[in-house]
Amino acid sequence: MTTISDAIHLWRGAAFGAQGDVLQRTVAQGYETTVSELLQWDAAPGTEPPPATLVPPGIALTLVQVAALVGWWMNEMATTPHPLREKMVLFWHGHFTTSVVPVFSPGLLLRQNQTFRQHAAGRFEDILLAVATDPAMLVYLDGRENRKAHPNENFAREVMELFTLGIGHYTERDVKEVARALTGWKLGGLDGHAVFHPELHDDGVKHVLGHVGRFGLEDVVHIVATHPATARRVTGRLFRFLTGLDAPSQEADRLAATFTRTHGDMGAVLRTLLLGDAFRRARHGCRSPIEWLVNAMRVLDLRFEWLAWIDPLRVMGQLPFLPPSVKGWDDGPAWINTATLLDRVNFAARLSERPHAGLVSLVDQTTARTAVRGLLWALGMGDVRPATAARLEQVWTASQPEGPARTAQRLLTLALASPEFQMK
Amino acid sequence: MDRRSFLLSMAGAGGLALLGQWDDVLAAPGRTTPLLVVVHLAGGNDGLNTIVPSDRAYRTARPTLALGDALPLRSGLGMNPAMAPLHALYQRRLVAVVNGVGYDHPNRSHFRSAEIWQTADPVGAPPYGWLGRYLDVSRQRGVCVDATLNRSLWAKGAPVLSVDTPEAFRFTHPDPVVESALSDLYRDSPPHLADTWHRLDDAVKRLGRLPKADGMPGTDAGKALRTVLQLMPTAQVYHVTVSGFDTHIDQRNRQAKVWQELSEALSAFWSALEARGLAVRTTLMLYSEFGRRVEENASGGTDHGTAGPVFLVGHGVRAGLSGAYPSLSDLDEGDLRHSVDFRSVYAGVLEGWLGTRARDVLGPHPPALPLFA
Repeated sequence: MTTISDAIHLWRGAAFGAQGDVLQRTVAQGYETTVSELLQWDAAPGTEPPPATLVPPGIALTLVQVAALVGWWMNEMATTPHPLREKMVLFWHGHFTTSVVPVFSPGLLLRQNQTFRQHAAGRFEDILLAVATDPAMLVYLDGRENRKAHPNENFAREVMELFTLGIGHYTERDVKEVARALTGWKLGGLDGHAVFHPELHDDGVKHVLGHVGRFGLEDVVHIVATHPATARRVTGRLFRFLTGLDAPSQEADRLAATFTRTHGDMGAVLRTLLLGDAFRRARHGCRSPIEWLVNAMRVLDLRFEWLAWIDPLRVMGQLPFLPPSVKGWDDGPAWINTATLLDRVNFAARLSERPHAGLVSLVDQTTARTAVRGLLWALGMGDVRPATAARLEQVWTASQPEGPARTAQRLLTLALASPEFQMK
Repeated sequence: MDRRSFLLSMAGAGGLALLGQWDDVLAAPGRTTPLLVVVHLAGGNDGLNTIVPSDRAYRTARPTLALGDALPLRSGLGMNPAMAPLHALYQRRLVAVVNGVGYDHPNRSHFRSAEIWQTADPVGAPPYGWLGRYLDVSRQRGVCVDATLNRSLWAKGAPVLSVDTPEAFRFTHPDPVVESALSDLYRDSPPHLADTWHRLDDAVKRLGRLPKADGMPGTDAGKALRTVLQLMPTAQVYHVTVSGFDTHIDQRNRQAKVWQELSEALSAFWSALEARGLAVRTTLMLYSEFGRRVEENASGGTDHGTAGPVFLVGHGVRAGLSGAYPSLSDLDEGDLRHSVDFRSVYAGVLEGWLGTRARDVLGPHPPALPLFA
């Protein structure tokens, strides 16, 4: 029996929220069917990215190009018929972190973004290999400077610490050996593809995580991708990304086992995760700024106002293509503190300034109850606490003298700024 | 994370016990209470090119990066020339440098090492930071100038505010009907949200009445210290993060830029404190999560390393250099060996400046350094 609360939790976790009619369909057809639908997407690449981003790498970035890239992706998330795929793109973006600032090429970042989309629920080893030779990543983590004489250990360390095993599962010696194995890759040519230069590669014998051999990049990728600590870490991060909460240890074991058994098939991991009890019980995790805004965009039918919305999104703590560090974003309660909650309240007020006619007419009813219920339904918030609905009804009543537009403005602000809308 | 950790990860105001009895974060402590401003140099500041030696081994290891024009300190050591304003404070005997600070089994991950410094625990990962534990013991208040709450200030019950810029801390669309409704909605929400709202609401009211602080540079360091100035002396402990020290590439220019900006900001900050009569009761501490390797890499930079210097600025410090400068010949696989455990520095600050028993905050710790006169 799928309740409206289950449906809301599913759509907020696996997608970017949903409006009342979509939630109703989920209740009617059931949870499992909906999960299967969410996991189905065709190979279509999505909407066309803006032409400004299709400049050759190496051309200096301008604010306009960054804004165009951010706006394009935010709109993609808000309008795509495949929201779970976009969530996975966002997950990989936060996991395999690069940033506009050191890379200075929107073209390279866009290409990496498309790579994430292509591999969204594919095999982990495939996406890791694509990332390890992705030009944006090479530039960001200085892999490009990884030449035989002074192997730059930065990339080697981040591959093991952040992309795969995690701290505690490798030694400093492993870092140095992996750095040796990764030597020889440089950015070549104007289109910025990664090129392997054998003469710059250290082809000696390396000892990596208990394996011995004349390892190159593909070998190391395979070793780290198939390490048991990677299974646990990647699936654990996915659970936390989708729910804002840590997986209970039994669930962490279960997901890691699925990963290992399917050789890193992220689609299989997703299905196992979304159908599990742990996910259904993982309530009230904090939603990230992007999830919050994209949900608002979807239910208010808004497009990203590029340039104007860049800074508000940045101060909320999550600007796409600009993660704060190589660690990506720390999902969970860290999203909400005194500064960022204020930012959400203010952004809610801003988004609600000029509600469209459909929303205004929803609140233009004869009773507070009808108006508030209708609005919450349309916003996909059909499971708020009775006290919340009652309080909103009071606001409706108090706003009647000022007309329906003002009433809608206030109620929308409250809905988007409410505790319920911050949670999954 | 489990529910308890969930509660503990938020800033101050305690868990359920303090809900509704929110301590006033912005009332000033006593007028003679010593103030502490802790600055994290994020990224791993290269100590060798900060406090510069004159050994030949230095120039051999760093054919392109070795600095030959360091500002003189003593004993053959100099300061990176980009730090001229800080050097001027040094010459006024307001700066103490502790060389060779680190810890056993150094970790070269930014996050783990920063966590170690900020929790003062090289082994475990306790939920509270060292400054947070100090605030819990002393019942003082803390301020973090940043969008997220720094781990150092994670406290069990002490009130800590995290704020980016005070002017921005307001409702952009003021509406008493909306604000009153939000207060009601958040009152009954899960504790993390309820508490955050309560502190936010309180802070908006008070931060709207802060004084301006002109004369600070518009750099990131300048803006952060300006916020500290505006909020002083309402809390006892402040934490600020300055980024840009992770110099894997083009260190010569990047490190010079970040130290120049920071030094100018520190100098302006100090002048402002003197103008307000707060300088005698303020100490600054600068730390980084690790130093960098002795040899330069192939990109004109250096990679993650180990020991580095800690700076203290203030009238009460024992000015000059202390701690043995790390040996450039006796290395640990290319890295410097530390001679001072960072907790000795913390203990020195806790006891010598904040007047508290270090053991109450740090637990068992290596001997405190006599950092204050």
